[in-house]
Amino acid sequence: MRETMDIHTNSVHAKPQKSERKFLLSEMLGSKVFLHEKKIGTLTDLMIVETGRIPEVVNFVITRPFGDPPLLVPYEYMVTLGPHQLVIDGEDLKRFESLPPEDAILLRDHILDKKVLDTEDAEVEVVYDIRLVERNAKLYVTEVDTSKAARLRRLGFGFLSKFAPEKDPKDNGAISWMYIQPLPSHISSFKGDVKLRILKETLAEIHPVDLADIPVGAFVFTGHKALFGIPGIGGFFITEPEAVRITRQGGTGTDSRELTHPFAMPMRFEAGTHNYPGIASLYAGLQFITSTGQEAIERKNRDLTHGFIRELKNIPGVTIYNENPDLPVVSFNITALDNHEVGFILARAYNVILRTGLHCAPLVHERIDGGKGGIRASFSYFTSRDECSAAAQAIREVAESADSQVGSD
Amino acid sequence: MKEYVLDEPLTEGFLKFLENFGTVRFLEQLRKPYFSFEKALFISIKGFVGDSTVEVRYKKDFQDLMGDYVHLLLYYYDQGERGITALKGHEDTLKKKMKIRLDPLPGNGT
Repeated sequence: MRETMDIHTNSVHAKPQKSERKFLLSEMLGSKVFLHEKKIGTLTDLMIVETGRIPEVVNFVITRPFGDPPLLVPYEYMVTLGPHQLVIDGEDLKRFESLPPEDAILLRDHILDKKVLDTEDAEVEVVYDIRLVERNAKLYVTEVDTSKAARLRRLGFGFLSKFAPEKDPKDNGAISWMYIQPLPSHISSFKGDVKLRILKETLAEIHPVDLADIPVGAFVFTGHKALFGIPGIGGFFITEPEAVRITRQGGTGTDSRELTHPFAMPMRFEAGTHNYPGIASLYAGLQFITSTGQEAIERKNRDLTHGFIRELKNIPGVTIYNENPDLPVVSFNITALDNHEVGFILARAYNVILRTGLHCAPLVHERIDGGKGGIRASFSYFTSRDECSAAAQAIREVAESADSQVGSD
Repeated sequence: MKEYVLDEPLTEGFLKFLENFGTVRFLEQLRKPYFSFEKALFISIKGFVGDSTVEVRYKKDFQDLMGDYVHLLLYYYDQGERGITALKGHEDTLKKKMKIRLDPLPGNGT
């Protein structure tokens, strides 16, 4: 007899997510505005400033009844913002009494219902709505919405959009603000159209949300999951890299005479020897995604996931924890069997490799299965339907055997 | 966790032997007949009848003691009733050693 393997498990940590809220301009306009629980007017427009990337909302334009002058309330005076209600704070409304300045950019007046033209003045569509995101106590304009759903919503028939034929998967009707040309400086007299930075023909190729559009200080990603790289490669995006202190130094090799680590990007964050196999694999993965199409990949993953869930739902003794997952990941358990045992049996007897345990999320498992852990099936673009069916059949056999098990104490 | 490679494939007879020392679960209708053996505070063993590999888990604190225990299980399996009695005696000794290791103050483990 000999021992062949010794595996140690790693400690696990829950990762908190920053919250954000999304808004549609059409749902915000007309909102009742309250101050100290008293209605003082109606939200009629939002004033923005262009920040170089995506515009930020700086003022609410509020009209008041009885001929009272409008208010221009700075965003920081907002207490709560809902789809149909805005609560503001402040003692003296008088100081907010003002019309928007001549050079103010107003979303409703200047952008909404404008034609969208491409760089050759070909008409793309009409701005039926504008999408906004609240993050880190700031409100940003992220996209103009030219979709049919937005048009129906504006006409008061939003409920009809779910009956509309399935849209072209490449076209979600939203155009990132990054593709909008800067608005003219004489904005008060602006009666023209919203112009894009790209041609109409290339519109379908742009991703609805660009990483650089997201108003965050930093964005970190791993390369070995949806990006098809090998383990050990990832990356990050930092808005102000100079503001971030480096924690790893040495061995850049770009200027060996220097005694200190280079300050410039990207060497600033590239200490030591590069992970060349990882970089090459990530590059190949990105090329594959580009050539295959993100939407095609997502569609296949969705089909595999839903097909697998359909099969699992018919197996007695199987508990599925989310029947509509956002990712191609299905968490489940089999009654009367420990999750590790199920994983062991499936791997050794059926060649079906699933992850078991707490999945780096002990608090989630505390909630869904009392902290005992579960079994997780993950699908990739390279998983076939036959493999999914074979896995479901294996799970059926294990679940049925668990009912007729032989045991002794 | 450790994986042990045995000289011979596991048999149902070995599972009967294990029943004297803990809880055995046997799923015989699977593609490969699966079994697990659980002895609280000692070890858990998973494997398949007909296979010559088993997965053994135990607490790191008692790694050496439990490694010995696995060997004793295999050693006494061939000795019938006498082996069962002898191994139970070894179990008592192991429990005392575990107690002392958890609390080495005088008076413990006796």
